[in-house]
Amino acid sequence: MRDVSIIGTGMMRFGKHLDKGLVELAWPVVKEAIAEAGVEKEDIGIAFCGTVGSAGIMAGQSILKTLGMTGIPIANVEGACSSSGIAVRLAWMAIRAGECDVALAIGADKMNRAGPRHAPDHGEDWDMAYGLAMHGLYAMRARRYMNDYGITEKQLSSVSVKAHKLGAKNEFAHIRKEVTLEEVMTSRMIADPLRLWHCCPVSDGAAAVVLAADDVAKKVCDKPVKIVASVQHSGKYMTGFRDMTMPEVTQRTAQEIYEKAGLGPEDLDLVEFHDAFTINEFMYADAIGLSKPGEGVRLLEEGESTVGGRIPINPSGGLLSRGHPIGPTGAAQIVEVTRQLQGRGGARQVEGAKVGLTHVTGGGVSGLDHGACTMHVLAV
Amino acid sequence: MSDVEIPPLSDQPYLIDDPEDDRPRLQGCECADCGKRVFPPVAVCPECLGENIKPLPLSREGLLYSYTAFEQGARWVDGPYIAAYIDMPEGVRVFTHIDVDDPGRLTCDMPVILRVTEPVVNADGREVLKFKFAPRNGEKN
Repeated sequence: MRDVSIIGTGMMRFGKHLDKGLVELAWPVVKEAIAEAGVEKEDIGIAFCGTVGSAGIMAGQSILKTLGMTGIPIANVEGACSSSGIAVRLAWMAIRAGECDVALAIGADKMNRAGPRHAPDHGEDWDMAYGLAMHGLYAMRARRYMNDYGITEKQLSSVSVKAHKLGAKNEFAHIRKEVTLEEVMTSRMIADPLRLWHCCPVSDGAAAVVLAADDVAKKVCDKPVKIVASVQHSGKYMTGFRDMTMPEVTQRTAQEIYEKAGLGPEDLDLVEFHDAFTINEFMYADAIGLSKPGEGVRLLEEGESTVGGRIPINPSGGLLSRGHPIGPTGAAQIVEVTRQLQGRGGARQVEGAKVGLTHVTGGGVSGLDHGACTMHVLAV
Repeated sequence: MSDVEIPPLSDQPYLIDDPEDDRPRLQGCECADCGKRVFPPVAVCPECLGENIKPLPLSREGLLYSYTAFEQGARWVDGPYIAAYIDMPEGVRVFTHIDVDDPGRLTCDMPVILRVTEPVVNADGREVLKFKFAPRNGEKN
């Protein structure tokens, strides 16, 4: 099968964009990604739009119509927070399968005033019907992780300080300001032990990625970024006890992607992972194999997980700072890592980065650690 | 808040009166073919796809795996309330609410016991949850 590279990226500042519609938000990033790719819009053979439907159905068609790009196969993809990570993966699969040479993946959502859309809300899901939501789910993970590994509220709060320090340097960040430990620790309680500054903001936004078969990529792009491996899974249905400090779907997806990419966590130069809440910084570092179980906190305390450290985690500021418009988050991570590997990371550049990993989970479903988990290894 | 009606959460009743005494129990199910246990009860076994499902009354007592105090609540239920996962001796985990005035009393792995309570009413005014769990030792503080 053919190798696939990323040749174009489009990104906007996430935030509260109440004055604009979804199409208005999204078409400029798609135009930017195509211009950067150096291809004509007619070269795009298929498009996937990752969205939780915050602005209704047919988002991809509505966005691409604006740029005169309909007439090709377009699929809107829903995988909660993992939606556009899955969209990139489907574009990658389409090129590898020979369906086309160039493909587009978009993420687009407007979450402000849309209501929550990260878990089944049809009323048939036991946990959700009885009052579970993602902040509470992660709060329970945090409680158990802190209980099992002796993590303190201060250590948990330090994650937010680090994320916003990095995010303050990111022109695309929803919250572009630093925050003090005291501000984090005295902020409003959301779901004990998670306070306001332990949670990502509710954002609106869009991101886009153009992918091409390697032979095309080499012709049109000076510095294509290769997709070394792409893996997606859904969480296993577990009716019994499960260790919520070690989400099996992330652990399983990580193990598989390392195997497919022929490398290990020690070979990564940077990671963008799903830090929707502060506890994720420790929990996912463990699950992705950056640390031993319970030791994710060490990466933070020893300065290894910031820019300049051994393995920068979320140099963009992550979901905590860049924001979390749900659908676009996976694509935004891939945009960030692509640009970092091209040396375009700006004030948050990870020097000499050659290999990066993205990780985005999605959706709370009773009995599943997560509805979806999507990971990509990118390299130059 | 919502214009969507909540459909039945389970194919079978999940809160039953125990014939042996007059206190209620939670009821899960067990697949008669492969032994898979599920709460709440289901019509088809997610393991072997068998439909020969028999009721499985659960113990009244379990262990508190984790919990959180929701300040604002969620999609279907207005806050505040304390949500939790309870690990039952029969090997199933139950998501529920905790009946305790001071969440500071709670710790992971503490024994908790089923308590039929005033129903939790959701944002639409519908009764969605007729039981909670509470710390075993004594009454609500």
